[in-house]
Amino acid sequence: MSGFLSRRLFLGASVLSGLPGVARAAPARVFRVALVMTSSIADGGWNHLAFLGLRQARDDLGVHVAYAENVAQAEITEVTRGYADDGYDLILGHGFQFGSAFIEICQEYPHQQFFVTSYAPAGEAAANVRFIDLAYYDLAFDTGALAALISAGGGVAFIGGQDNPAQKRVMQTFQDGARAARPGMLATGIITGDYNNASRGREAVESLVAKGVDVIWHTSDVTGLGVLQGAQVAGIKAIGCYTDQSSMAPAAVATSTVLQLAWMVHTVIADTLAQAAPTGGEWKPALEQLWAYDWKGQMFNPALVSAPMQAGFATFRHDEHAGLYPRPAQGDTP
Amino acid sequence: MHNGVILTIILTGLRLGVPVMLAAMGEVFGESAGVLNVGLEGMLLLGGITSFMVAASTHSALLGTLAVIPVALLAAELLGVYYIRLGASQIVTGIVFNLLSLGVASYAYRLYCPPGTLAARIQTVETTLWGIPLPVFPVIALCVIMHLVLMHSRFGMAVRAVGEAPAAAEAAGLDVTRVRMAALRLSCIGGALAGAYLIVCQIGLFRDSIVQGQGFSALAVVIFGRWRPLAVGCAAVLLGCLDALQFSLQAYVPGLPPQVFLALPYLAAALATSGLFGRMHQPAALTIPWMAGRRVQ
Repeated sequence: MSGFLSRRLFLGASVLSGLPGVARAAPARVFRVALVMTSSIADGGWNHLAFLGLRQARDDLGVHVAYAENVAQAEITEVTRGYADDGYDLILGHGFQFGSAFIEICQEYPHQQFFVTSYAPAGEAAANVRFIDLAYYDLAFDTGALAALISAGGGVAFIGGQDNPAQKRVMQTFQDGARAARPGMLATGIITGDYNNASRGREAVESLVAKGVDVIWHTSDVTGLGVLQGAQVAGIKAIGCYTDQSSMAPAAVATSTVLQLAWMVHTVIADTLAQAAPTGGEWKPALEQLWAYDWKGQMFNPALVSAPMQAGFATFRHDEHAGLYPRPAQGDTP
Repeated sequence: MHNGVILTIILTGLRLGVPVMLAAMGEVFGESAGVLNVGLEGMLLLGGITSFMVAASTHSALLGTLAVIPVALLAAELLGVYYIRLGASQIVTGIVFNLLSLGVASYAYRLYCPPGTLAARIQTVETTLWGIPLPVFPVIALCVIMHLVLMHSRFGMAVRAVGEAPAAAEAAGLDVTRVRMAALRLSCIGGALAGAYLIVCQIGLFRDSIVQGQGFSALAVVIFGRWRPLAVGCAAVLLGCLDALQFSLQAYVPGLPPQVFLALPYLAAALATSGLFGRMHQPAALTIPWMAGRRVQ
């Protein structure tokens, strides 16, 4: 927890500054931002990118930053309260897990801004908690189509992390996209139940390969690193997630769905710094602002995605924008 | 489900079960001697980071694996001071050791691969025989050897004696502290080798969260196998197969909610350790410290 200013230290400093002879003119107040994560910043993906955005904001905007990583679900409220009590102006909770916890405590800190890097939970809102729609479902539909178009015909699959409504809906939308691009194609998936178990990711691939799957997309962070490893060993294609993961499995990665997380964190901090008072609601950036297909600076690995396949995907996206592929009903909206 | 799917489940289960089996093999000695090594999770993590750094630096999976042994011995000495020589709570000490290991491994990894740099990765061992990774065979052989040693050798008898009745063992001339230290070293070596297996045979890279509860699974598997190495090995593979089964069920029965399948391995472990099935006789002096000449309560 580098940069973490503990409450004890804060209280001690407050007492000292109140003593005669010790008090001095208050310097200009620096805007303070805290980022709270449930996993490590060395995960090479989801948390690592957010950390980079935080660091960039510190350098560009001159804000004071702090972060807490590997925070267990049960500790989210406690850690967040710690930052709020220490007077942090903006507290970012990085992931789905933070939504309900922030809603629960935000009323106690009405002058501070909370931000969750996930969608707003259904039926819950607060004046000082903002959310973001990361356009996962639009991305999943496109990526399902891409997977189907680069498949040799065996089938495509999605491997998800924690079992939550968003992951299940992403899996369903991925399958819908695959079937829209190639009707009748086998489109399946596995929710491993874990974002941090690379062994499970690798073995989930084996189970899918046995079913005939030859293209896999993951959104499962560290578990996904095992997915890529398993795809490389099995000799099938994989689509990485969050960063360009071509170096993780060079022979398997056809492309990666790269999330502009660093841009997102930087933008949230800049926007909050500029606003007069905390706000609520959900931010909805465009799909193209948030996501890009990337393989070493190009869109696709030319060894795995041929020119006709690339053209087929471009045509699909064009047709999709023209409304040729209406999305099936999804049931409950997360 | 046809035969191919069943074979996939068994092979996947075997691969998933091997790290747990390795950790549990050592732990069965520790527990049989009366030492519950709750720090096994941290030991896997230390083994993982050590093997990763050594294998990445030397490009040798073998060196990466062997390098974890001195680290395990060092950790055993540290744990032994608290578990055995000072008679501290084995549960509290183990939990603290797990937290310490996470900090050490995380710090070492960040020194080796600072955030913002391209993460290093190593070439995993991918040689297979009949579709089974080659390193699985020595692990299975080790399981048989450990069973023979614990159940049919003088050393094994000494280990079980100090775990069942340390006073009687001491009266018979055994050095309880020494035997327990030897068992603890085996437990730590097993844990560290399991961490190395995860890195050099399965994943090829390191993350703080790579172990993800497999040390605790090993503790459960030891109870599941009733402190008998062969049964413990089978229990590890069985839990791996249940994990593999939930993958296959999700792929083949897509309409059902995944929560049902995800719970399978944990449900099996909970039932096995509950004592509802079969007689459960744990070592009588498990977690009970022993000071030369007197039992510490």
